[in-house]
Amino acid sequence: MSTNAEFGLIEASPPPEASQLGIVVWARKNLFNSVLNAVITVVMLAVLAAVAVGFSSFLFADERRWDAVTVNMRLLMVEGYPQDHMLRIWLSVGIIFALIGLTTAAWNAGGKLAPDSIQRMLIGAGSLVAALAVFGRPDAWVWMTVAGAVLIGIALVWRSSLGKKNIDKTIPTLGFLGGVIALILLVTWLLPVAMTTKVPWTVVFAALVGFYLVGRVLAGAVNNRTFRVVVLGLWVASFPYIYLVLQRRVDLDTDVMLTFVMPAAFLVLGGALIWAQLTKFSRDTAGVVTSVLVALSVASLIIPVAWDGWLELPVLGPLIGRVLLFALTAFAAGGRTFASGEGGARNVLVGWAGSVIAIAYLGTVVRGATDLGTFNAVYGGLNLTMLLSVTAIAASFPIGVMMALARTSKMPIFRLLSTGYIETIRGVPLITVLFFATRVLPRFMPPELAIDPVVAVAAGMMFFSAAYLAENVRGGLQSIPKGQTEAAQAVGMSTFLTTALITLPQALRTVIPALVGQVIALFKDTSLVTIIGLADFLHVARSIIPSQPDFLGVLMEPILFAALVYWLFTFTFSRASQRLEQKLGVGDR
Amino acid sequence: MPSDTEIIVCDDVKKWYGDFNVLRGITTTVKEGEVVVIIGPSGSGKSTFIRCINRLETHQEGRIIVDGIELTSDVRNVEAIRSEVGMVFQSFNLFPHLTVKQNITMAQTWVRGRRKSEADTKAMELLERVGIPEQADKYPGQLSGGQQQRVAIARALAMDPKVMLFDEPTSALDPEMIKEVLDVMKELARTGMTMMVVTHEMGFAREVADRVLFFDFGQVVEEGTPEHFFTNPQHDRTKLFLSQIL
Ligand SMILES: Nc1ncnc2c1ncn2[C@@H]1O[C@H](COP(=O)(O)OP(=O)(O)OP(=O)(O)O)[C@@H](O)[C@H]1O
Ligand SMILES: [Mg+2]
Repeated sequence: MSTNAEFGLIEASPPPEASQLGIVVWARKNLFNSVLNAVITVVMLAVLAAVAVGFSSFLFADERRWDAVTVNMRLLMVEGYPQDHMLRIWLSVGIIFALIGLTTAAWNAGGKLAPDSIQRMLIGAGSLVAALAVFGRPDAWVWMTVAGAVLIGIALVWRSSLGKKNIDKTIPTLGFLGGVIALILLVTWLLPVAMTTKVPWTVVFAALVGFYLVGRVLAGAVNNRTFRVVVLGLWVASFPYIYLVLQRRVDLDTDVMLTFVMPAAFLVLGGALIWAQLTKFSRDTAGVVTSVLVALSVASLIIPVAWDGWLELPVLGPLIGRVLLFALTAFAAGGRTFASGEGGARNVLVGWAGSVIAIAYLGTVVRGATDLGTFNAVYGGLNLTMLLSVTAIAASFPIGVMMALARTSKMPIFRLLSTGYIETIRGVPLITVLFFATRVLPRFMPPELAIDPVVAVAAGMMFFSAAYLAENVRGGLQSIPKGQTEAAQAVGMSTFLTTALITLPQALRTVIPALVGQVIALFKDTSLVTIIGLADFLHVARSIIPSQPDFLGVLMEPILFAALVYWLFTFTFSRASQRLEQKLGVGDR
Repeated sequence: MPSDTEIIVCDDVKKWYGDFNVLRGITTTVKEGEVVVIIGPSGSGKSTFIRCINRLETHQEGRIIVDGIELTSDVRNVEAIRSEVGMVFQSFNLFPHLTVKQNITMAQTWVRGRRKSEADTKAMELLERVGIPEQADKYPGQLSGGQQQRVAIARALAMDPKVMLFDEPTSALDPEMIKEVLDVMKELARTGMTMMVVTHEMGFAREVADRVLFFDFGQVVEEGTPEHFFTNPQHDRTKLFLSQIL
């Protein structure tokens, strides 16, 4: 290896003609460059081959029951979701794929593939299929061998037909992937493959491609920044819509209506009050207003306790009203420290509108009646796993960031509360939190406020994850030099602006790797909900399928399938975050 | 040359760090358009004093009045003052996650409430003025120290400050970059900007300053024109300091 360096030669990259033999050259240089290395290579290859043979003969042994997975696919994906309503599930999948299409278009994501790497992939896939044919069932090995040979043939013929001129031409990875998927779908239509979901999958794939194309057109037509913000907004709105509305169809009754009217009133009148508080009132008037609001909030806590009849009222409306009153008090009291100048008042108002909408939205749909039954009855399988992890991750983010800010703030009371919260949560296992949320908490609540176990679990995971996230973010905040804050203050930024524009963005950038680790862990930890009796993805694979009369005791196959799916998700996620890191130049700037 | 309007008034300003008395009663006034250079040995409280003027540090006794507003703990007063007083730090303190241009437009849009196009135009004007318009879309980490410090000056100027504070703006720079920053500061002084500059660059003090303050042990020991200072210093401590530094 070092001979080149010893003779002071510069290693030249091989000319393009040689790349046909690239693998051989590479192997000779890296694997067989000395006797010892050659021996090690041969031994390792033998070990790898033995493992591969063992594993594939396991995968394809006659007694393997892969039909336990294929037959139960729906169960794995959505568990007991009402069959007549499967269209809603497909609509959800369609929405997500359409958004993926729009997103790739908006960010123009995806790299390029050189012909050589495509050729290598095709040859690899062909050899794999042909090799696996050895272990195939009697009815399958013929066409597996043929398929493998065809793949390798395509690779060789296509590559040599390119000629020297086109060798450097690259193909977009996305286009290539799209082509492959389209091909697979085409095969399922042409061959008599028994696949009950090929119609919806074809439509979903068409949605992906269609929205990608629409996205490309839009990206050219409108301001790119605006387009990206809209796409991000659609992502944020999509999951609540899918899980709270589309898959549950909330009915509007009086209880729910009340929770619409009241937030609307709070939004307008409260907004006006905050505006006046920030820009019109003198300090003294503002103080009086704040005091009155604090008194009202306290009274709203005491009155229901003192007055027995309150439970007969529609419960949710007044409850949301009280939460909104607390929020208004917080904004009226704290607005001044956050706002600076007119822009500041505007930002506080935007924050207020967001809070009201979030409170109303959550309050309304979390408890709203539905014609499909409770969350617990509706959600299961991979669908439940997605619901729990998306909710917990998305919701724990703002809470965790706020906790981190509170713990580093100058106000002792914020510091105390947040430290207490973080240390308490971090001191107990997730299971304890989940048990507490589903078993203990309901005993302290009036029956009218009974929370569905799925909601309770999602909330429990959210609070659990928030504590860890807060510590990660706090680490990031502490790594920001003091000079940054001083420079921001020196140009007149308020504490709020300094945090939002200067310290927090830098802190979040530095902790991306830690956050990704946490998200991946949380995604897998959702499988713990099986212990409190929810039928998530792993639960279906681990307990439900092996206890079906047809597949009694068949455990290995569904578990392996589950492992593959978990891996696919986490792998995609960590790749995506690597790209994000590159894009933000983490470590470079 | 300086007008008669007093823009900074310090009246018996005192400050302690615990038991340690950093500022022992500073009284001085700065007139509009005046360039005041502060010199003195290390640890004499120069940085502390200049940082009190935009309240990055708080004084405990005495009064500081900037542009008619007294600095108190009222948050709104402090923010109002800070947007009128620009500050340039020894270690630049540019925002590393923003481009050069964004560094200069950020406070304009969020604090001054300017439209983005307006802020952009202003940023490019200022980059032109400090001589590095071609660096607008780079990140601070990609610039040399001298270029970074010029961006920091442009960032402060973007707020249209009435006063500029400099705390040893050239101390962290390699010798060949010091001149380019000093040139920008000289140009600024010529256009009539009110400036308070802590520096060890005696050439700059001699050429640009209207008045020099000599700090020692948290006090103004001697005060006068550069000519007075460099030809005829009165106090022994001043003489000692100048003999060591020149
Ligand atoms: N946060 C602090 N806590 C305690 N003492 C401090 C603090 N900041 C500064 N000091 C002390 O106050 C004194 C004055 O510091 P200051 O930074 O104002 O000096 P300076 O004149 O700017 O010196 P230099 O020329 O080295 O920058 C020093 O003795 C320093 O040790
Ligand atoms: Mg100093």
